[in-house]
Amino acid sequence: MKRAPKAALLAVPALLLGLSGCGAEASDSSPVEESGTASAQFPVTVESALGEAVIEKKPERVVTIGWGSADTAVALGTTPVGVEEVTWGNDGHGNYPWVTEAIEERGDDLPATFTGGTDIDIDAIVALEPDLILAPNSGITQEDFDILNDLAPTVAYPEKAWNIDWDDQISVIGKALGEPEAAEEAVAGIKTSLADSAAEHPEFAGKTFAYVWGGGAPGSLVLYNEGDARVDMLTALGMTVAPEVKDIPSSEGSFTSELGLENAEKLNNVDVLFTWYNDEAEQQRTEEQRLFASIPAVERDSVVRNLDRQVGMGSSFLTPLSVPWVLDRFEPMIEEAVAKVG
Amino acid sequence: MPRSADSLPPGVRAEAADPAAAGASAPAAPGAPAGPAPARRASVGAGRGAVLLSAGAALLVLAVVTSLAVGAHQLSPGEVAASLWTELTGTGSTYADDVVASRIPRTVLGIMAGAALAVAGVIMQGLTRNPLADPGILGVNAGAAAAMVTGMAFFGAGAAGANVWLALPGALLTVVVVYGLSSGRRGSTPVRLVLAGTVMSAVLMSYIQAVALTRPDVFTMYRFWAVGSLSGRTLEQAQDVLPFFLVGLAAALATGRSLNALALGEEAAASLGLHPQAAKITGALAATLLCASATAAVGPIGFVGLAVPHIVRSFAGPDHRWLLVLSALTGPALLLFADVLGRLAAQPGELLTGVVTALLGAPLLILAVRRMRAVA
Repeated sequence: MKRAPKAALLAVPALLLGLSGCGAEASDSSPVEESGTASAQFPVTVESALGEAVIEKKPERVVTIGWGSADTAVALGTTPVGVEEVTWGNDGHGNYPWVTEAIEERGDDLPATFTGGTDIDIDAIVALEPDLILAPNSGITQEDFDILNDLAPTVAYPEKAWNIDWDDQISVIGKALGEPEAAEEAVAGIKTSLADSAAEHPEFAGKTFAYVWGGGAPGSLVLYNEGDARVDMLTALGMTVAPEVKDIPSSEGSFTSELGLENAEKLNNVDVLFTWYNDEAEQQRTEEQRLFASIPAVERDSVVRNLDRQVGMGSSFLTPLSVPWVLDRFEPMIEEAVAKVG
Repeated sequence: MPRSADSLPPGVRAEAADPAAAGASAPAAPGAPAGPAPARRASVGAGRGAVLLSAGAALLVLAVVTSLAVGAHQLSPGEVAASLWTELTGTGSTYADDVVASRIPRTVLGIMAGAALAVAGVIMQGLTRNPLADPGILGVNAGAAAAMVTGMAFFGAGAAGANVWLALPGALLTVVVVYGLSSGRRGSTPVRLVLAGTVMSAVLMSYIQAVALTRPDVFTMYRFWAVGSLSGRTLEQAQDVLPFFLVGLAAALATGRSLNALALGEEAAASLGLHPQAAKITGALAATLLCASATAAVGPIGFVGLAVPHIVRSFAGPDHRWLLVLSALTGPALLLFADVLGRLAAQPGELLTGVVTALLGAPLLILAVRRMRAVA
């Protein structure tokens, strides 16, 4: 049958992450608050898997690519002039609501957005005249990096695409912006609010969990492993990854593993099952499979089902802006599921 | 030797261009209507036919048993049998019951899709007199997929169960358009059919990509469906498709004689009292029904439709009546074995059936081609 088009379609899973630009005009950057220490920090060199970025002076025109970097830049006092357009879980401004809200609170102009994903709109980035490009949690290629780094110092990921510990992401952005202390404070603030939340919910402590997605290959589940921010957030709230789940090896080059549903018994000791769905149809397809329904957590309904894309994204990375926004919405969902563990 | 004026593309050899086929007519199996069958060698006799049929049936039974009994979760034959019994008489409650129950839809879908694709492959190769034809060559699968994407994008179709009601009209409409495009003053020729089908496929696939890429919600659904797989689907989906599959299979099995006549070339077929255009339309419709059912049920699965007819031909010779029946037994066997292999190969994950099919089918196809050469 039609194999070539199928291959073409399978080759673009990242398409979900970026389509159709909207050609917004670049807005003038707002005057940056010069902190006394910032200018003394420079020049700064930031290493990444794709090469090094040499930042001569405090950046004023920052462009962000990938997840969570716009959040941290805003939190550290620099509103980006351009961000990769958010197409999944976005608000009306092609961004995440918590970022838009924070920028509006600061009284800055909202950043321009450009098409990202697998086919980054380089021309749009050139037009923004950036002096720093932040992509520490992204999937940019070496080719992208070489072009971008010629344009402005570019910060990519430390080892693998889409793989950076949430606190390292904040630290590296802090270093690039000349705000290392503010970054440290931001990390400490996130840890404190998660710890506070854990203290408020003693019932979360020690509950085992698995975080799965059923919309990948038919008849299989995708499992998120430790090191993924979704999982890190839940462990910070006092829960633990179920031991049988820890033992499942990661798929090549990713922070996920795959589990055929014939092995669903590996999830027998999961107290709370976390899952997200793209839509109701995907939810139905997953839940109508008997082996999925036979998972004890599903049988007793101690399941956190997330169909809200903004909550989904807000719990997929940890940033100074996303954590407070998402905790308010995510905690009640977890409370409800934990109450059913019995 | 009678040959129609069809010019075939370079490298494509009409069956009947084989000198050995000239004037050879085969004694048919007892009870079957005697028709001329171009034969590269002595055609299947009754005894040999019985042997091949038994072998094919045994292979299929073995595949079904394997598909029900073997998988990531290991069960003893006794447990499998007990769970099967529990499932057939009610709904089981143990984990073993759930595992075996989850293998039932896979197996049923595998039987249907495997038979549909292999039989459709025989018909398409016969109609187009092109040994490289696969079931999708007339644009049928692209048509089914395009209709499904249209339904998802503009009419809110999302439930997987309703697929067949979109896939079938899409496939039928496509085949009608392809036939219309390829028809000249003297009806359609194989070359024009293949060209029209290829063009339609290309246009429809572009349309599918355009819709899927601009509508992430559609893309999500389409992506799930566009990987051919027997798992993650339900018995209801098999039931939705079953009537179309059965009608298509019955119609397809009846085309053996006309395909044999067509293999001699259209003029020769006409002189034997066959209406070539009518035969082609019947064959194309039967194959369309089969392809659309398979595509709606399990997504696009390649290779079965291309490889199985050749594998069977290397044992049974060129008589289409045998090819159709034996392919209907061998196709499901190949698909089910591929599916079992996929369950075991990437523990604790699974490999997609569509991927394994080609891995398993390719060596068999190469062997079949070598055997044929040795025979010819």
